[in-house]
Amino acid sequence: MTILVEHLGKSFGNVRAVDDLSFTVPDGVVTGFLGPNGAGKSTTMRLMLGLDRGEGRTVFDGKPLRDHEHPSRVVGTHLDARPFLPGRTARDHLRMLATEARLPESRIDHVLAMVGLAEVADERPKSFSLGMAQRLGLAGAVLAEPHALMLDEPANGLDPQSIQWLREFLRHYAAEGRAVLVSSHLLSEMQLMADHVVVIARGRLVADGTIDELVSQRSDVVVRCTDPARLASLLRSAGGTVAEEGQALGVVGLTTDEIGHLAFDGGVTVLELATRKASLEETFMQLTGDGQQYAFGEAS
Amino acid sequence: MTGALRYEWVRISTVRSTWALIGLAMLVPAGLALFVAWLVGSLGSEAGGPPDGEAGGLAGFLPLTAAVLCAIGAAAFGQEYRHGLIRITLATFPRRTPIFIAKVLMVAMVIVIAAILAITTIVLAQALGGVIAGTGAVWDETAWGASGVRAVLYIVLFVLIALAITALTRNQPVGIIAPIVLAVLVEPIVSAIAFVQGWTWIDWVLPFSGGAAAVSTDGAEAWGHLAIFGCWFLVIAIPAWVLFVRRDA
Repeated sequence: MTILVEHLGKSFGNVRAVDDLSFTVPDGVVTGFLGPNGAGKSTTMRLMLGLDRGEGRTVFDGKPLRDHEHPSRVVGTHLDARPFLPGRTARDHLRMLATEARLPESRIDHVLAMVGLAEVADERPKSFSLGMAQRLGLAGAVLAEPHALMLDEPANGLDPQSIQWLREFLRHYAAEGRAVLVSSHLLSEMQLMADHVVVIARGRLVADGTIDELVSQRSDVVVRCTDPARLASLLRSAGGTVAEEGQALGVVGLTTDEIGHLAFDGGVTVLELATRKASLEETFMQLTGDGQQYAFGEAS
Repeated sequence: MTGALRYEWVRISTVRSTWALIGLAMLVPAGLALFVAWLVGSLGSEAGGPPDGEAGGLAGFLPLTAAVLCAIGAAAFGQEYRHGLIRITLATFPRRTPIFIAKVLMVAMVIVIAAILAITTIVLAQALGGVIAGTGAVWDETAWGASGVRAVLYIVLFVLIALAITALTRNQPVGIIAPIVLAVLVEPIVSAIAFVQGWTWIDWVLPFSGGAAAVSTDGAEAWGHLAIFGCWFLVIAIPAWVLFVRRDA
Protein backbone atom coordinates (compact mmCIF):
# COMPACT_ATOMS: atom_id res chain seq x y z
CA MET A 1 0.00 0.00 0.00
CA THR A 2 1.55 3.24 -1.15
CA ILE A 3 0.39 6.47 0.46
CA LEU A 4 0.25 9.45 -1.89
CA VAL A 5 0.26 12.89 -0.29
CA GLU A 6 -0.77 15.63 -2.71
CA HIS A 7 -0.54 19.38 -2.16
CA LEU A 8 -1.42 19.43 1.52
CA GLY A 9 -1.84 22.87 3.03
CA LYS A 10 -2.98 24.28 6.32
CA SER A 11 -2.88 27.69 8.00
CA PHE A 12 -3.44 28.64 11.61
CA GLY A 13 -4.35 32.31 11.44
CA ASN A 14 -1.47 34.01 9.68
CA VAL A 15 0.89 31.09 10.18
CA ARG A 16 1.28 28.76 7.21
CA ALA A 17 1.84 25.45 9.03
CA VAL A 18 1.87 23.20 5.95
CA ASP A 19 2.46 24.60 2.49
CA ASP A 20 1.82 22.69 -0.75
CA LEU A 21 3.36 19.53 0.61
CA SER A 22 3.51 16.47 -1.63
CA PHE A 23 5.39 13.22 -1.14
CA THR A 24 4.99 9.48 -1.33
CA VAL A 25 5.24 6.89 1.41
CA PRO A 26 6.26 3.75 -0.48
CA ASP A 27 5.45 0.26 0.68
CA GLY A 28 8.12 -2.19 1.73
CA VAL A 29 10.29 0.36 3.54
CA VAL A 30 10.24 2.51 6.66
CA THR A 31 9.89 6.18 5.76
CA GLY A 32 11.26 8.64 8.27
CA PHE A 33 9.46 11.95 8.59
CA LEU A 34 11.92 14.57 9.79
CA GLY A 35 11.79 18.24 10.58
CA PRO A 36 12.64 20.64 13.38
CA ASN A 37 10.15 21.57 16.09
CA GLY A 38 7.18 23.39 14.59
CA ALA A 39 8.01 22.21 11.07
CA GLY A 40 4.48 20.87 10.62
CA LYS A 41 5.06 17.12 10.97
CA SER A 42 2.17 16.42 13.34
CA THR A 43 -0.15 18.75 11.43
CA THR A 44 0.78 16.95 8.20
CA MET A 45 -0.01 13.57 9.75
CA ARG A 46 -3.37 14.84 10.98
CA LEU A 47 -4.14 16.28 7.54
CA MET A 48 -3.23 12.96 5.92
CA LEU A 49 -5.76 11.20 8.13
CA GLY A 50 -8.48 13.82 7.65
CA LEU A 51 -8.34 14.78 11.32
CA ASP A 52 -7.54 18.39 10.47
CA ARG A 53 -9.27 20.27 7.70
CA GLY A 54 -7.02 21.78 5.06
CA GLU A 55 -6.07 21.76 1.40
CA GLY A 56 -4.93 18.84 -0.73
CA ARG A 57 -5.61 15.17 -0.34
CA THR A 58 -4.05 11.91 0.73
CA VAL A 59 -4.87 8.60 -0.89
CA PHE A 60 -4.29 5.20 0.62
CA ASP A 61 -4.16 2.48 -2.01
CA GLY A 62 -5.83 4.77 -4.53
CA LYS A 63 -8.57 6.36 -2.45
CA PRO A 64 -9.04 8.60 0.59
CA LEU A 65 -9.20 6.86 3.96
CA ARG A 66 -12.86 7.75 4.43
CA ASP A 67 -13.78 5.74 1.31
CA HIS A 68 -12.33 2.49 2.63
CA GLU A 69 -14.75 -0.03 4.11
CA HIS A 70 -12.55 -0.77 7.15
CA PRO A 71 -10.23 2.21 7.75
CA SER A 72 -8.55 0.52 10.71
CA ARG A 73 -7.36 -2.25 8.37
CA VAL A 74 -5.94 0.39 6.03
CA VAL A 75 -3.86 2.51 8.41
CA GLY A 76 -2.94 2.19 12.06
CA THR A 77 -2.06 5.40 13.86
CA HIS A 78 -0.26 6.44 16.99
CA LEU A 79 -0.21 10.23 17.13
CA ASP A 80 -0.32 11.10 20.83
CA ALA A 81 1.87 9.94 23.68
CA ARG A 82 -1.05 8.95 25.91
CA PRO A 83 -3.98 8.27 23.59
CA PHE A 84 -6.25 6.52 26.06
CA LEU A 85 -8.59 7.13 28.96
CA PRO A 86 -6.66 6.75 32.24
CA GLY A 87 -9.60 4.91 33.81
CA ARG A 88 -10.12 2.31 31.09
CA THR A 89 -7.97 -0.82 31.24
CA ALA A 90 -5.42 -1.47 28.53
CA ARG A 91 -7.41 -4.50 27.36
CA ASP A 92 -10.69 -2.56 27.20
CA HIS A 93 -8.97 0.24 25.29
CA LEU A 94 -7.93 -2.29 22.65
CA ARG A 95 -11.35 -3.98 22.76
CA MET A 96 -12.86 -0.64 21.83
CA LEU A 97 -10.47 -0.21 18.91
CA ALA A 98 -11.09 -3.80 17.80
CA THR A 99 -14.80 -3.22 17.20
CA GLU A 100 -14.42 -1.46 13.83
CA ALA A 101 -12.59 -4.37 12.22
CA ARG A 102 -14.50 -7.01 14.25
CA LEU A 103 -11.31 -8.48 15.64
CA PRO A 104 -11.41 -11.47 17.99
CA GLU A 105 -10.34 -11.27 21.64
CA SER A 106 -7.37 -13.51 20.81
CA ARG A 107 -5.90 -10.77 18.61
CA ILE A 108 -5.98 -8.38 21.57
CA ASP A 109 -4.13 -10.92 23.71
CA HIS A 110 -1.60 -11.46 20.94
CA VAL A 111 -0.88 -7.74 20.52
CA LEU A 112 -0.64 -7.13 24.27
CA ALA A 113 1.88 -9.94 24.54
CA MET A 114 3.78 -8.62 21.53
CA VAL A 115 4.31 -5.17 23.10
CA GLY A 116 5.08 -6.68 26.51
CA LEU A 117 1.95 -5.45 28.30
CA ALA A 118 0.22 -8.81 28.88
CA GLU A 119 0.88 -8.67 32.62
CA VAL A 120 -0.75 -5.26 32.98
CA ALA A 121 -3.52 -5.82 30.43
CA ASP A 122 -6.26 -5.51 33.02
CA GLU A 123 -4.77 -2.52 34.81
CA ARG A 124 -5.81 1.06 34.27
CA PRO A 125 -3.06 2.90 32.42
CA LYS A 126 -3.15 6.07 34.53
CA SER A 127 0.03 4.87 36.26
CA PHE A 128 1.76 3.72 33.06
CA SER A 129 5.17 5.20 32.35
CA LEU A 130 5.65 7.08 29.08
CA GLY A 131 7.32 4.01 27.62
CA MET A 132 4.41 1.75 28.58
CA ALA A 133 1.98 4.33 27.19
CA GLN A 134 3.89 4.33 23.90
CA ARG A 135 3.68 0.54 23.77
CA LEU A 136 -0.08 0.65 24.32
CA GLY A 137 -0.36 3.25 21.56
CA LEU A 138 1.66 1.02 19.25
CA ALA A 139 -0.51 -1.97 20.19
CA GLY A 140 -3.57 0.02 19.14
CA ALA A 141 -1.94 1.02 15.86
CA VAL A 142 -1.06 -2.53 14.78
CA LEU A 143 -4.15 -4.18 16.25
CA ALA A 144 -6.01 -4.63 12.95
CA GLU A 145 -2.79 -5.51 11.07
CA PRO A 146 -3.22 -2.45 8.84
CA HIS A 147 -1.53 -2.09 5.46
CA ALA A 148 0.10 1.14 6.61
CA LEU A 149 1.34 2.59 9.88
CA MET A 150 1.66 6.26 10.82
CA LEU A 151 3.54 6.86 14.07
CA ASP A 152 4.36 10.27 15.53
CA GLU A 153 7.48 10.15 17.72
CA PRO A 154 6.90 6.53 18.83
CA ALA A 155 10.37 6.18 20.37
CA ASN A 156 9.89 8.99 22.91
CA GLY A 157 10.20 7.61 26.43
CA LEU A 158 11.39 4.16 25.33
CA ASP A 159 14.51 2.65 26.86
CA PRO A 160 17.33 1.48 24.52
CA GLN A 161 16.09 -2.13 24.49
CA SER A 162 12.58 -1.00 23.60
CA ILE A 163 13.90 1.29 20.87
CA GLN A 164 15.85 -1.59 19.40
CA TRP A 165 12.73 -3.76 19.53
CA LEU A 166 10.67 -1.00 17.89
CA ARG A 167 13.26 -0.59 15.13
CA GLU A 168 13.30 -4.29 14.34
CA PHE A 169 9.52 -4.54 14.56
CA LEU A 170 8.94 -1.64 12.16
CA ARG A 171 11.53 -2.86 9.67
CA HIS A 172 9.96 -6.33 9.73
CA TYR A 173 6.47 -4.82 9.38
CA ALA A 174 7.56 -2.80 6.35
CA ALA A 175 9.42 -5.76 4.85
CA GLU A 176 6.08 -7.55 4.59
CA GLY A 177 5.09 -5.03 1.93
CA ARG A 178 3.49 -2.40 4.16
CA ALA A 179 4.03 1.35 4.25
CA VAL A 180 5.42 2.73 7.50
CA LEU A 181 5.73 6.47 8.19
CA VAL A 182 7.55 7.40 11.39
CA SER A 183 8.29 10.90 12.60
CA SER A 184 11.15 11.34 15.00
CA HIS A 185 13.66 13.79 16.36
CA LEU A 186 16.14 11.00 17.05
CA LEU A 187 18.23 11.30 13.91
CA SER A 188 20.72 8.59 14.85
CA GLU A 189 17.82 6.24 15.47
CA MET A 190 16.19 7.25 12.22
CA GLN A 191 19.43 6.51 10.39
CA LEU A 192 19.21 2.94 11.69
CA MET A 193 15.46 2.56 11.21
CA ALA A 194 14.48 4.35 8.02
CA ASP A 195 15.34 3.53 4.43
CA HIS A 196 13.61 6.58 2.99
CA VAL A 197 13.20 10.02 4.54
CA VAL A 198 10.98 12.99 3.95
CA VAL A 199 12.33 16.21 5.46
CA ILE A 200 10.20 19.31 5.94
CA ALA A 201 10.91 22.75 7.37
CA ARG A 202 8.33 25.49 7.94
CA GLY A 203 5.69 23.27 6.38
CA ARG A 204 7.55 22.87 3.08
CA LEU A 205 9.28 19.83 1.62
CA VAL A 206 13.05 20.23 1.65
CA ALA A 207 14.18 16.69 0.86
CA ASP A 208 12.67 13.38 -0.19
CA GLY A 209 14.76 10.31 -0.91
CA THR A 210 16.79 7.50 0.54
CA ILE A 211 19.15 8.34 3.38
CA ASP A 212 22.12 7.37 1.17
CA GLU A 213 20.97 9.78 -1.54
CA LEU A 214 20.53 12.66 0.87
CA VAL A 215 23.78 12.06 2.69
CA SER A 216 25.82 11.53 -0.49
CA GLN A 217 24.50 14.82 -1.91
CA ARG A 218 26.04 16.55 1.06
CA SER A 219 29.26 14.51 1.21
CA ASP A 220 32.52 15.80 -0.22
CA VAL A 221 36.07 14.63 -0.92
CA VAL A 222 38.87 15.94 1.24
CA VAL A 223 42.29 16.32 -0.43
CA ARG A 224 45.56 17.19 1.27
CA CYS A 225 48.37 17.94 -1.16
CA THR A 226 51.67 19.78 -1.68
CA ASP A 227 50.15 22.64 -3.72
CA PRO A 228 46.52 23.32 -2.69
CA ALA A 229 46.19 26.52 -4.73
CA ARG A 230 47.23 24.83 -7.99
CA LEU A 231 45.07 21.77 -7.40
CA ALA A 232 42.08 23.98 -6.49
CA SER A 233 42.45 25.74 -9.80
CA LEU A 234 42.63 22.42 -11.69
CA LEU A 235 39.58 21.06 -9.87
CA ARG A 236 37.52 24.20 -10.52
CA SER A 237 38.45 23.99 -14.20
CA ALA A 238 37.12 20.42 -14.21
CA GLY A 239 33.76 21.56 -12.79
CA GLY A 240 34.30 20.82 -9.11
CA THR A 241 33.30 23.08 -6.27
CA VAL A 242 36.25 23.62 -4.00
CA ALA A 243 36.43 24.94 -0.44
CA GLU A 244 39.88 25.71 0.88
CA GLU A 245 40.44 24.38 4.40
CA GLY A 246 44.04 25.35 5.29
CA GLN A 247 46.35 22.88 3.58
CA ALA A 248 43.38 20.73 2.56
CA LEU A 249 40.58 21.14 0.05
CA GLY A 250 36.96 20.10 0.34
CA VAL A 251 35.66 19.11 -3.08
CA VAL A 252 32.11 18.57 -4.23
CA GLY A 253 31.14 17.39 -7.70
CA LEU A 254 34.16 15.19 -8.46
CA THR A 255 34.97 11.65 -7.44
CA THR A 256 38.16 10.55 -5.72
CA ASP A 257 39.27 8.88 -8.97
CA GLU A 258 38.74 12.05 -10.99
CA ILE A 259 40.60 14.15 -8.41
CA GLY A 260 43.48 11.68 -8.31
CA HIS A 261 43.89 11.75 -12.10
CA LEU A 262 43.69 15.56 -12.24
CA ALA A 263 46.34 15.90 -9.52
CA PHE A 264 48.62 13.39 -11.25
CA ASP A 265 48.22 15.09 -14.64
CA GLY A 266 48.87 18.49 -13.02
CA GLY A 267 51.96 17.30 -11.18
CA VAL A 268 50.58 17.87 -7.70
CA THR A 269 51.55 15.33 -5.07
CA VAL A 270 48.51 14.08 -3.15
CA LEU A 271 49.14 13.33 0.50
CA GLU A 272 45.61 12.36 1.46
CA LEU A 273 42.47 11.69 -0.56
CA ALA A 274 39.28 10.50 1.13
CA THR A 275 35.53 10.74 0.87
CA ARG A 276 34.10 12.69 3.80
CA LYS A 277 30.58 11.34 4.35
CA ALA A 278 28.12 13.68 6.04
CA SER A 279 26.09 12.29 8.92
CA LEU A 280 22.32 12.38 8.78
CA GLU A 281 22.45 15.02 11.48
CA GLU A 282 24.73 17.26 9.42
CA THR A 283 22.53 16.70 6.40
CA PHE A 284 19.44 17.48 8.46
CA MET A 285 20.98 20.68 9.81
CA GLN A 286 21.99 21.81 6.33
CA LEU A 287 18.57 21.01 4.90
CA THR A 288 16.47 22.61 7.58
CA GLY A 289 18.82 25.52 8.20
CA ASP A 290 16.81 28.26 9.88
CA GLY A 291 13.64 26.22 9.68
CA GLN A 292 13.31 25.79 13.43
CA GLN A 293 10.29 27.81 14.46
CA TYR A 294 11.45 28.67 17.98
CA ALA A 295 15.24 28.63 17.74
CA PHE A 296 17.62 28.50 20.68
CA GLY A 297 20.01 31.33 21.48
CA GLU A 298 23.76 30.79 21.83
CA ALA A 299 24.61 27.78 24.02
CA SER A 300 27.25 29.74 25.90
CA MET B 1 -22.89 2.39 11.44
CA THR B 2 -23.01 -0.88 13.36
CA GLY B 3 -19.24 -0.64 13.85
CA ALA B 4 -19.65 2.84 15.32
CA LEU B 5 -22.43 1.61 17.61
CA ARG B 6 -20.26 -1.30 18.82
CA TYR B 7 -17.39 1.12 19.39
CA GLU B 8 -19.63 3.43 21.40
CA TRP B 9 -21.03 0.57 23.45
CA VAL B 10 -17.54 -0.58 24.45
CA ARG B 11 -16.52 3.04 25.08
CA ILE B 12 -19.45 3.78 27.38
CA SER B 13 -19.56 0.40 29.14
CA THR B 14 -15.85 0.11 29.97
CA VAL B 15 -15.52 3.16 32.17
CA ARG B 16 -16.41 2.80 35.83
CA SER B 17 -17.93 6.27 35.96
CA THR B 18 -20.84 5.14 33.76
CA TRP B 19 -21.87 2.47 36.24
CA ALA B 20 -21.12 4.66 39.25
CA LEU B 21 -23.32 7.44 37.88
CA ILE B 22 -26.16 5.03 37.12
CA GLY B 23 -25.87 3.75 40.68
CA LEU B 24 -25.89 7.28 42.05
CA ALA B 25 -28.86 8.20 39.86
CA MET B 26 -30.74 5.28 41.39
CA LEU B 27 -29.70 5.78 45.01
CA VAL B 28 -29.62 9.56 45.58
CA PRO B 29 -33.12 10.47 44.29
CA ALA B 30 -34.51 7.25 45.82
CA GLY B 31 -32.98 8.12 49.20
CA LEU B 32 -34.50 11.57 49.00
CA ALA B 33 -37.84 10.10 47.90
CA LEU B 34 -37.77 7.71 50.86
CA PHE B 35 -37.17 10.57 53.26
CA VAL B 36 -39.87 12.78 51.74
CA ALA B 37 -42.38 9.93 51.67
CA TRP B 38 -41.65 9.11 55.31
CA LEU B 39 -41.89 12.79 56.30
CA VAL B 40 -45.13 13.37 54.42
CA GLY B 41 -46.57 10.11 55.71
CA SER B 42 -45.65 11.04 59.25
CA LEU B 43 -47.13 14.53 58.99
CA GLY B 44 -50.29 13.43 57.15
CA SER B 45 -52.28 15.19 54.44
CA GLU B 46 -53.38 17.93 56.83
CA ALA B 47 -49.75 19.08 56.95
CA GLY B 48 -49.65 19.66 53.20
CA GLY B 49 -48.83 16.18 51.89
CA PRO B 50 -50.76 14.45 49.13
CA PRO B 51 -54.22 13.05 49.97
CA ASP B 52 -54.23 9.73 51.84
CA GLY B 53 -53.80 6.80 49.52
CA GLU B 54 -51.86 8.81 46.92
CA ALA B 55 -48.19 9.05 46.42
CA GLY B 56 -46.79 12.07 44.64
CA GLY B 57 -43.77 14.05 43.70
CA LEU B 58 -42.09 11.78 41.14
CA ALA B 59 -41.71 14.79 38.84
CA GLY B 60 -39.83 16.60 41.59
CA PHE B 61 -37.10 13.94 41.72
CA LEU B 62 -36.51 13.68 37.98
CA PRO B 63 -34.30 16.79 37.56
CA LEU B 64 -31.97 15.40 40.26
CA THR B 65 -31.85 12.05 38.46
CA ALA B 66 -31.17 13.77 35.15
CA ALA B 67 -28.52 16.03 36.69
CA VAL B 68 -26.58 13.01 37.93
CA LEU B 69 -26.86 11.19 34.60
CA CYS B 70 -25.95 14.18 32.42
CA ALA B 71 -22.29 13.51 33.22
CA ILE B 72 -22.65 10.35 31.09
CA GLY B 73 -23.90 12.45 28.19
CA ALA B 74 -21.13 15.02 28.59
CA ALA B 75 -18.50 12.26 28.73
CA ALA B 76 -19.46 11.01 25.25
CA PHE B 77 -17.51 13.89 23.70
CA GLY B 78 -15.83 15.45 26.73
CA GLN B 79 -13.62 12.50 27.68
CA GLU B 80 -12.48 12.07 24.08
CA TYR B 81 -11.45 15.70 23.64
CA ARG B 82 -9.88 15.88 27.07
CA HIS B 83 -7.65 12.84 26.59
CA GLY B 84 -6.99 13.12 22.85
CA LEU B 85 -8.97 9.97 22.12
CA ILE B 86 -11.01 11.84 19.54
CA ARG B 87 -8.12 11.54 17.08
CA ILE B 88 -8.09 7.76 17.44
CA THR B 89 -11.88 7.66 17.13
CA LEU B 90 -11.91 9.77 13.98
CA ALA B 91 -8.97 7.94 12.42
CA THR B 92 -10.92 4.72 13.01
CA PHE B 93 -14.18 6.24 11.74
CA PRO B 94 -13.21 8.97 9.24
CA ARG B 95 -16.85 9.56 8.34
CA ARG B 96 -17.88 11.69 11.25
CA THR B 97 -21.67 11.76 11.00
CA PRO B 98 -22.11 8.05 11.82
CA ILE B 99 -19.94 8.38 14.94
CA PHE B 100 -21.92 11.47 16.04
CA ILE B 101 -25.21 9.59 15.56
CA ALA B 102 -23.79 6.51 17.30
CA LYS B 103 -22.83 8.58 20.33
CA VAL B 104 -26.33 10.08 20.55
CA LEU B 105 -28.05 6.72 20.09
CA MET B 106 -25.84 4.82 22.53
CA VAL B 107 -26.10 7.47 25.24
CA ALA B 108 -29.88 7.58 24.71
CA MET B 109 -30.12 3.80 25.00
CA VAL B 110 -28.07 3.63 28.18
CA ILE B 111 -29.99 6.55 29.71
CA VAL B 112 -33.37 4.96 28.88
CA ILE B 113 -32.33 1.91 30.91
CA ALA B 114 -30.81 4.04 33.67
CA ALA B 115 -33.94 6.23 33.82
CA ILE B 116 -36.25 3.21 34.07
CA LEU B 117 -34.12 1.80 36.88
CA ALA B 118 -33.97 5.17 38.66
CA ILE B 119 -37.73 5.78 38.39
CA THR B 120 -38.41 2.25 39.63
CA THR B 121 -36.20 2.78 42.68
CA ILE B 122 -37.87 6.15 43.37
CA VAL B 123 -41.31 4.52 43.27
CA LEU B 124 -40.12 1.68 45.51
CA ALA B 125 -38.53 4.19 47.91
CA GLN B 126 -41.75 6.22 48.06
CA ALA B 127 -43.70 3.08 48.88
CA LEU B 128 -41.16 2.04 51.51
CA GLY B 129 -41.30 5.54 53.03
CA GLY B 130 -45.06 5.17 53.41
CA VAL B 131 -44.62 1.77 55.06
CA ILE B 132 -42.06 3.17 57.51
CA ALA B 133 -44.32 6.14 58.25
CA GLY B 134 -47.17 3.73 58.99
CA THR B 135 -49.44 4.85 56.15
CA GLY B 136 -48.76 1.73 54.07
CA ALA B 137 -47.21 1.27 50.66
CA VAL B 138 -48.58 3.72 48.12
CA TRP B 139 -47.55 3.37 44.49
CA ASP B 140 -46.97 6.51 42.44
CA GLU B 141 -49.23 6.01 39.44
CA THR B 142 -47.54 8.80 37.48
CA ALA B 143 -44.63 6.41 36.99
CA TRP B 144 -46.69 4.11 34.76
CA GLY B 145 -48.19 4.53 31.31
CA ALA B 146 -47.77 7.64 29.19
CA SER B 147 -46.59 9.84 32.07
CA GLY B 148 -43.92 7.26 32.88
CA VAL B 149 -42.78 7.27 29.25
CA ARG B 150 -42.59 11.07 29.34
CA ALA B 151 -40.57 10.91 32.56
CA VAL B 152 -38.03 8.63 30.89
CA LEU B 153 -37.89 10.82 27.77
CA TYR B 154 -37.46 13.94 29.92
CA ILE B 155 -34.33 12.41 31.51
CA VAL B 156 -33.03 11.23 28.15
CA LEU B 157 -33.45 14.67 26.55
CA PHE B 158 -31.88 16.39 29.58
CA VAL B 159 -28.80 14.15 29.22
CA LEU B 160 -28.68 14.56 25.44
CA ILE B 161 -28.67 18.34 25.87
CA ALA B 162 -25.59 17.90 28.08
CA LEU B 163 -24.05 15.78 25.30
CA ALA B 164 -24.85 18.40 22.66
CA ILE B 165 -23.47 21.28 24.74
CA THR B 166 -20.23 19.32 25.26
CA ALA B 167 -19.97 18.52 21.56
CA LEU B 168 -20.52 22.20 20.78
CA THR B 169 -18.04 23.56 23.30
CA ARG B 170 -15.62 20.59 23.52
CA ASN B 171 -15.65 21.23 27.24
CA GLN B 172 -16.92 18.51 29.57
CA PRO B 173 -17.42 20.63 32.72
CA VAL B 174 -19.45 23.16 30.71
CA GLY B 175 -21.52 20.30 29.30
CA ILE B 176 -22.35 19.07 32.79
CA ILE B 177 -22.80 22.39 34.56
CA ALA B 178 -24.67 24.42 31.92
CA PRO B 179 -27.87 22.30 31.84
CA ILE B 180 -27.94 22.08 35.63
CA VAL B 181 -27.45 25.83 36.09
CA LEU B 182 -30.09 26.53 33.47
CA ALA B 183 -32.58 24.10 34.98
CA VAL B 184 -31.99 24.91 38.65
CA LEU B 185 -31.01 28.58 38.67
CA VAL B 186 -31.64 30.52 35.49
CA GLU B 187 -35.03 29.18 34.44
CA PRO B 188 -36.62 29.43 37.93
CA ILE B 189 -35.54 33.09 38.06
CA VAL B 190 -36.96 33.70 34.58
CA SER B 191 -40.13 31.84 35.55
CA ALA B 192 -40.51 33.98 38.67
CA ILE B 193 -40.19 37.13 36.62
CA ALA B 194 -42.65 35.71 34.10
CA PHE B 195 -45.09 34.91 36.92
CA VAL B 196 -44.96 38.50 38.12
CA GLN B 197 -45.33 39.78 34.56
CA GLY B 198 -48.15 37.37 33.83
CA TRP B 199 -46.35 35.64 30.98
CA THR B 200 -48.27 32.36 31.10
CA TRP B 201 -46.63 31.12 27.91
CA ILE B 202 -43.18 31.01 29.47
CA ASP B 203 -43.20 27.22 30.05
CA TRP B 204 -43.64 26.82 26.30
CA VAL B 205 -40.38 28.61 25.66
CA LEU B 206 -37.95 27.61 28.40
CA PRO B 207 -36.41 24.20 27.71
CA PHE B 208 -36.05 22.71 31.17
CA SER B 209 -39.20 24.27 32.65
CA GLY B 210 -41.05 22.96 29.61
CA GLY B 211 -39.44 19.58 30.06
CA ALA B 212 -40.53 19.47 33.70
CA ALA B 213 -44.04 20.53 32.63
CA ALA B 214 -44.08 17.52 30.29
CA VAL B 215 -43.96 15.32 33.37
CA SER B 216 -46.22 17.33 35.67
CA THR B 217 -49.05 17.84 33.14
CA ASP B 218 -51.17 15.41 31.15
CA GLY B 219 -52.37 14.69 27.66
CA ALA B 220 -51.57 16.74 24.59
CA GLU B 221 -50.19 19.60 26.65
CA ALA B 222 -47.61 17.30 28.21
CA TRP B 223 -46.56 15.86 24.86
CA GLY B 224 -46.35 19.39 23.45
CA HIS B 225 -43.99 20.41 26.23
CA LEU B 226 -41.89 17.30 25.58
CA ALA B 227 -41.77 18.04 21.85
CA ILE B 228 -40.50 21.55 22.54
CA PHE B 229 -37.90 20.14 24.93
CA GLY B 230 -36.83 17.84 22.09
CA CYS B 231 -36.62 20.82 19.74
CA TRP B 232 -34.26 22.52 22.17
CA PHE B 233 -32.02 19.47 21.99
CA LEU B 234 -32.02 19.78 18.19
CA VAL B 235 -31.30 23.51 18.37
CA ILE B 236 -28.04 22.70 20.17
CA ALA B 237 -27.29 19.34 18.54
CA ILE B 238 -27.50 20.47 14.91
CA PRO B 239 -24.81 23.17 15.13
CA ALA B 240 -22.77 20.79 17.30
CA TRP B 241 -22.98 18.16 14.56
CA VAL B 242 -22.10 20.68 11.82
CA LEU B 243 -19.03 21.81 13.79
CA PHE B 244 -18.07 18.24 14.66
CA VAL B 245 -18.01 17.37 10.96
CA ARG B 246 -16.10 20.49 9.89
CA ARG B 247 -13.57 21.37 12.51
CA ASP B 248 -10.16 19.95 13.39
CA ALA B 249 -10.06 16.97 15.71
